[in-house]
Amino acid sequence: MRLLLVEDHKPLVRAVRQGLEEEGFAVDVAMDGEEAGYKAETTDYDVIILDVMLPKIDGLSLLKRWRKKGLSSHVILLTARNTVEDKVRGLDSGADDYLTKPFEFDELLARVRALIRRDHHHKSPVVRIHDLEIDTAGRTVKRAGQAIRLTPREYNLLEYLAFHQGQVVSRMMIWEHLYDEHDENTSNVVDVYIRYLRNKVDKGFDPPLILTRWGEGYMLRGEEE
Amino acid sequence: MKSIRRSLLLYSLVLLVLAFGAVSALMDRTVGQTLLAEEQSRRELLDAQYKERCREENNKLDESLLQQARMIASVVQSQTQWSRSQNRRLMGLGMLTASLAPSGQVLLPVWAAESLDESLDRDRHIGLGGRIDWMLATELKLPEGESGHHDDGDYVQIRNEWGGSWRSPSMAHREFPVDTEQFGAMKLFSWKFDDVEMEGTRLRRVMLKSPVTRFRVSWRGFGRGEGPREGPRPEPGTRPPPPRMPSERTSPAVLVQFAADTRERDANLAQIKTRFDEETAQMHGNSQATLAAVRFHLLAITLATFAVVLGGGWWLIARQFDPLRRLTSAVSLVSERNIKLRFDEKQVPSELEPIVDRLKRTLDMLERAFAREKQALADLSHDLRTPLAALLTTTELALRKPREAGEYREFLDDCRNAAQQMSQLVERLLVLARLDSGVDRLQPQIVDLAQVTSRCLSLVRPLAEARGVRLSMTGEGSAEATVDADKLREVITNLLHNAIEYNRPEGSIDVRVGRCNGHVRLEVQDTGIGIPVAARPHVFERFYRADPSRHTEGLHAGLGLAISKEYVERMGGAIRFESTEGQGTTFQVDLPAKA
Repeated sequence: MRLLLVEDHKPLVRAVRQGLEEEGFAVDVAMDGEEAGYKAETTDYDVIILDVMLPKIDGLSLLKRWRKKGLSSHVILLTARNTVEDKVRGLDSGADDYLTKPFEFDELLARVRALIRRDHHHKSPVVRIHDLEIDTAGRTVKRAGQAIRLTPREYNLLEYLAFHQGQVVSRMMIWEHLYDEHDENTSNVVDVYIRYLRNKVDKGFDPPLILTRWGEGYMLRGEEE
Repeated sequence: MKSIRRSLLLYSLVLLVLAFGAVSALMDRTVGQTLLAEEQSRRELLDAQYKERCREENNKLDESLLQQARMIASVVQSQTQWSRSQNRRLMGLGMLTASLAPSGQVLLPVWAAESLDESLDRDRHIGLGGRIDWMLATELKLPEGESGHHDDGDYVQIRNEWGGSWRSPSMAHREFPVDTEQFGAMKLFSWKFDDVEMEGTRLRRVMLKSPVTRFRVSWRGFGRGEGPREGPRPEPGTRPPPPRMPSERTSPAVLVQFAADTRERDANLAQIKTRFDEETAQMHGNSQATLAAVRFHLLAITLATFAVVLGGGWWLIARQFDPLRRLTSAVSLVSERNIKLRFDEKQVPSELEPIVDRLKRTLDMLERAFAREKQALADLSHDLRTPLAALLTTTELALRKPREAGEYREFLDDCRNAAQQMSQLVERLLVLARLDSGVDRLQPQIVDLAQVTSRCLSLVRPLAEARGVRLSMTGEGSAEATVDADKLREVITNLLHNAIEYNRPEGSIDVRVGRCNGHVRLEVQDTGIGIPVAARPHVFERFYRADPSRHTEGLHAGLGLAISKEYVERMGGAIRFESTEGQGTTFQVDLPAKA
């Protein structure tokens, strides 16, 4: 999952970014409204964390502009303003969620994940495909009742495939959603991780869930097949 | 008087009283004068009427007297009996007074006989002796039955030229005085009126000189004949010739005196007078009544007007003050949430317009001030909460999983930075709070501005150099001022920090210290981005930041200049600036020189 963090306070940026990355998210950062606009319009982010008080362009106007343009990424507003009016104004401007500073980091995480789940119509935190059980809240994986340990990257990849179950995801898409701008784009990183994943998830289980579509990408087996 | 309404009413009533008083007095006088004039003319009329009536009454009496006198004159007879003269002569001429006989015959007084003049003599062609005889023989008489021409109450006296007279019975022994000269002077047929008194009774008398048209001469013993009485009978068929006017020469004259008491006339006159008095009184009464009525009406109108003005005025004024009341309630509706004055401009009377206008403007100002404070508060909360969030998140992150020492050190470093940032902000807020509450006290000392400035410069030099900004200072000798040293240092440091922060890379800062008529002056000139025109009026406001993004460095939070201005002004100085966008800004601080 790829996130955009828009915040101009450096210490906060450092802390939040590190925390999110440690949780397996790919995080891009913008320090002012202009940069944020540019990045949001060129990359498809799963969630944008937006601070309202920004230099150059006010956060809310930016948001309104995005929504007008049809940008459908989820947006969480991060702000020091905590009055009801501010919350209402923020939500009415097109935000999906609102978090006030100072905040608990865990809360930020949970809300981000909730938004992602919403995207994929998975209201329940547990995703079940065949005998695969993925608890997106606890970030645990079980297959046929057996717990499988995955690294954060592996988990993110599996979760991504699971959210797109039955659909082909191209390498490009995988790359975009799992790796931030600073990671080097080596084309077989994706392949490598697919292999890692297969080792853990498919090996010893039936049916194989991670499928290859030559020339197109990968896919997690859907329920119908 | 506290109430406008009451004083308005009172004054208008006073004015009304004065006006009405004047008008009433005027009207009263005019009416009075008019009535008086009218009364005057009516009185004159009545007077004339009265006089006329009196005259009429008098004339009536006089006319009746005259008429009766004439009647008597026309029937009086002069009878001459020669035989009688003889008898008389015998009686002697010594008899002076008249003696009355029932028939009214009287002896002629001697002087009457002696007063015979030649004219008589000429006329009568009778000798003197014969004349006396004639006189003696003549007597006046009213024919029987003719005495009815007078009443018992009337007094008649007939006198002929030589004293023969006839008196009415009512005269008794009395006699009217006669002025024979006057008698002689009178023309025939003429008459005179006068008033006589007889034994206490007032009489009105007419004296008529009339020719005797009937006289008889009887010659006892000598024959009988009638004197000329009438002219020759006119021939039938022809116009009778005009009757010959008897003249003094042709016939003797008598003086008929007819008098009547004036009782009736007086009574009538009295009645007339009474009537006159009554009418006068009535007229006077009428005019008085009219005057009284006018006065009453004036009073009534005055009182009525008073009542109307009082009542109507009370109500009207209340109505006119209605906008004031509405204004009051509109003002009371103004609250912190809703600062706008809701008052319909069209309904504002012109007197209230200035007030309403000023109120609206004041409220607008307040609203803006509130908005500014609110915004400032929002900014402030952001400026405090953000480093706090950083602090919190950093510590959470650090504790999330086991980490290496180096990582922990980094985290702790970040925490410290955030804490420092917050601490600075809190400090500035406290300074402002202290200034506002008056707790902060200045401790003036004599300081050398140049010295203090150069020390501050050396403190900020590393910061300037880190940004590549050149610092320089020029000054002429010492510039001593009486100020609080600590505060001065803060101000200078703040200005320098601003100059550095808002400067271009490779820019420069020039600091000048000098003296200027009674003041010491500090100037800090930078080659920075300048202050935008829109921001210039607000530069010294609390929490104001021209560019809201500039909080990241956390040095000022928009309070530095506000605090500086507060300090400078408390020290008795002034702070101002000049700026050109894109080129730079110069801040200027004047402080009172050492006293």
